[in-house]
Amino acid sequence: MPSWGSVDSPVNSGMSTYYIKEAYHDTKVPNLVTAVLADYRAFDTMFETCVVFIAMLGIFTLLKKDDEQDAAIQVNTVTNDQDNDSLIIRVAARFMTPFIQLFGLYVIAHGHHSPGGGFQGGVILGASLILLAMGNNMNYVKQFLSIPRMILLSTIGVLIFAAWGLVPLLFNKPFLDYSSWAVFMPFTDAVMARSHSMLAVEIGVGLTVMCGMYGIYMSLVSDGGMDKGL
Amino acid sequence: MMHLNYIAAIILMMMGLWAMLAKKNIIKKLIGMAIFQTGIILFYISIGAKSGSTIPILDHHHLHDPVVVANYANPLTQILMLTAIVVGVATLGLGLTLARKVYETYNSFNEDEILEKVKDADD
Amino acid sequence: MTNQLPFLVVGIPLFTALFIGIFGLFNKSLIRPIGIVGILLSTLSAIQLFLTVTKSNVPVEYFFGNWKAPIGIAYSIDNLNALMILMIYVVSFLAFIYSLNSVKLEISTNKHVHYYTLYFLLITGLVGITITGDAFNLYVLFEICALSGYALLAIGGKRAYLPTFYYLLIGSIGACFYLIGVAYLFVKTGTLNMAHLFELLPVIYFSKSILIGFIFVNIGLFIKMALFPVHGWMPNVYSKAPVSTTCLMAPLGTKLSIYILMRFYFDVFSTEYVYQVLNIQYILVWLATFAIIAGSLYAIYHQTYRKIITFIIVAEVGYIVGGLWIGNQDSVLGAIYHIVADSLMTLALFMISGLILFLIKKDRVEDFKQVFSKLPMTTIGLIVVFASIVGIPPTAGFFSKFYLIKGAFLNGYYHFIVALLLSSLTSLFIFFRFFESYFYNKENSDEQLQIKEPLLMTIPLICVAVLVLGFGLSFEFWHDYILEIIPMGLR
Repeated sequence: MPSWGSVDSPVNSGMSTYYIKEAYHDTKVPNLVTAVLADYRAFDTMFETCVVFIAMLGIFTLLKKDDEQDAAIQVNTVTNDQDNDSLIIRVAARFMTPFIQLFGLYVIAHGHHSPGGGFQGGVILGASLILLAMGNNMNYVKQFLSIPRMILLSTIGVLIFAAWGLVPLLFNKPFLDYSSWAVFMPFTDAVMARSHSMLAVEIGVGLTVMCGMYGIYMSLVSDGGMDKGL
Repeated sequence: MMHLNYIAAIILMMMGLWAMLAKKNIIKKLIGMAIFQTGIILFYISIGAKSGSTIPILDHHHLHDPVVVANYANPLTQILMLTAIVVGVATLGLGLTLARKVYETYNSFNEDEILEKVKDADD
Repeated sequence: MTNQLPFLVVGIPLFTALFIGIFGLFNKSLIRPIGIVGILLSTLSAIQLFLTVTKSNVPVEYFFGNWKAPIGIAYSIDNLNALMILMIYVVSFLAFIYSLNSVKLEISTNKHVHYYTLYFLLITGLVGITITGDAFNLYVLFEICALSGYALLAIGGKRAYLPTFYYLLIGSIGACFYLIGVAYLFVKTGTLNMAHLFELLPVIYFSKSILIGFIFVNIGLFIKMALFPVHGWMPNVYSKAPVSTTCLMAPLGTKLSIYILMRFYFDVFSTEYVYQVLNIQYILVWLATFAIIAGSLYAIYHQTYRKIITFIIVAEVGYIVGGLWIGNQDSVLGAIYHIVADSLMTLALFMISGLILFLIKKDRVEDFKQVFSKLPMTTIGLIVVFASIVGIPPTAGFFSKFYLIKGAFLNGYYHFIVALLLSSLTSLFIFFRFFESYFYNKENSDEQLQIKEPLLMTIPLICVAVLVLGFGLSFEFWHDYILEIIPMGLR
């Protein structure tokens, strides 16, 4: 087995040398990890997004109470004392959330030049929603992100990724060949079309991961009732 | 020192596997699964390390210089492990859901008690 | 359009799942039409792909993102792949038609949307496993199958939670062992593409890392295919899960893991490495023998129909891997033929279990007198399927057993022949035990009214019975077709 940190082991002198040398010329994206993740191996990333989607959908479906159990539980739930008593936590959570979300959007958008990308930014956005739900009541978050809307948004996230790759099929190119998008984007050539497509695809990933993280949290914490907070 | 990463990864994997098989509490089995997957992730990432290299992001000011491969860490292993981490989180989420449902049905987290109740209810 | 076919067989179920997920939330009655359109289009694509591959001599290739083979992810479809994809779609199509009725009976209405989304994502994962040419893409799709499988199995209610939890733990161990095996191969070669590995491995055949990688990949796949010592998760899960799920998962889940093992043996570690450098076939054929014997004996022991058929699956897995390890042209041909035959038989067995559970409400052996007297279509299906399991010509099961026995005889593995015959005898014994409860318990013959079997559930069953017969009758064609798959080293 090659020793730790060796520069000429088969792993470090195999396929990865192509990626390090040519990724900037092919895609104009300095972050090599994002370039390989969202372009060369984009098919893997699409299925990884599906994995998050399946996890959220599976956890939600398993924990969701059927209708007759719901009716039995309504009698016992007291929703009034779920409001968080501490004024400091409520105000601090609401104050910090816009900055966290702005940082999450920055991480998604700046994934081309710094460490980041769809998954990382999506988790930060999901964390901001969880912070709001923990600081206040879960019903507070449900006002603007109700459960059907959350499932719909996560499905749309995966659909953005898959549909973005479907367009090259019209030109008889393989799936996820971003250079075909140069026809639809003015003033871009094939290489820049790859760079912009990676951003679009990462937005889809970020959307799904945000809804996925929040959905997993919500289902597990409220045990399917979807109406209590912490 | 030269093979320390392999030893560390294998120790983690073995600890996780032992926890999954030998512990009686089903939550501890899930924690063992998480440790096992972390060991694998450590294994992959450590084989992509290069001594004296920096992160695999090309520097803004030197974008048009020829690239020296040995200066940048291997991006391929990191990408594979991004996927593996996400898969691990998803499996852990589903595992916790199932553990919670098992608790609701049998009112215990201990494997022996649950199997007793299953035997009484079956056949 | 034909050169986009490799993508279409994976992409259409994915888009169907997403559209069901979006439109089903607004209007529940859209779920079934979208599902039917999706599965029809993808089955047609699979048939078209099969015909294309049959006509061409070289494997059909498809590069995602237009990046050539080791740089991007590549699909490569040869005879074996095309056969597996056709098998997956035939089984999924019939299982979906069956589920249109059975889902209403088992799963609460507000969960139908999510059930069908996960259903189509499971089909996507299963097709993706067979068609991919990249070792890490295989792991991701494996996990998609596994995760959607856990969710679909656990929807079944209280009795399904604990077995599904154990399946989750053991399945994760299996997938992680596969990943460790790929890690060892990656350490020594630096690439993940299967064709590229095939070129790079022969130089380093004698290194220990490749041996360890081989062992880990094997053990991971053994866990997933429920081979004898590590089969413990399967009987509980498949006997307590909802019927609509088991009709899709049981025929395909274990068989595709065997397909992956074959793909690794033929196209990553070449047959030279597996059969000549390693030379461990003797031990492994003994393992397969024990698998067959154990499966058959457990099947006799149990009294519930669903447990009996899961143990029959354990025995059948033993046939296929035994045939693969014997390493003879005839035995490998029998093994590949048996993969398809067995998935059709398993589908029929689980469809029958659903009919029995919904209409008679109990499935112990002594309740079978009601089956024979009240459910005529189910009885016909049961007779055809058991004839195939026992191995009566001209059903498909006869040809696979014949070629397995012939291959084992040519290489001198007589214990394998004994195990095969023993398994046929035990299947015959099980079937006659069902019949016996009909002939000897005729006291309550005043309730002779026939129960109306739902049409949407019996038509797929009769289709599968016809396919089992047809697959056997058309054996000449399949013989020549499968012969092209077997690599030169084994002929």
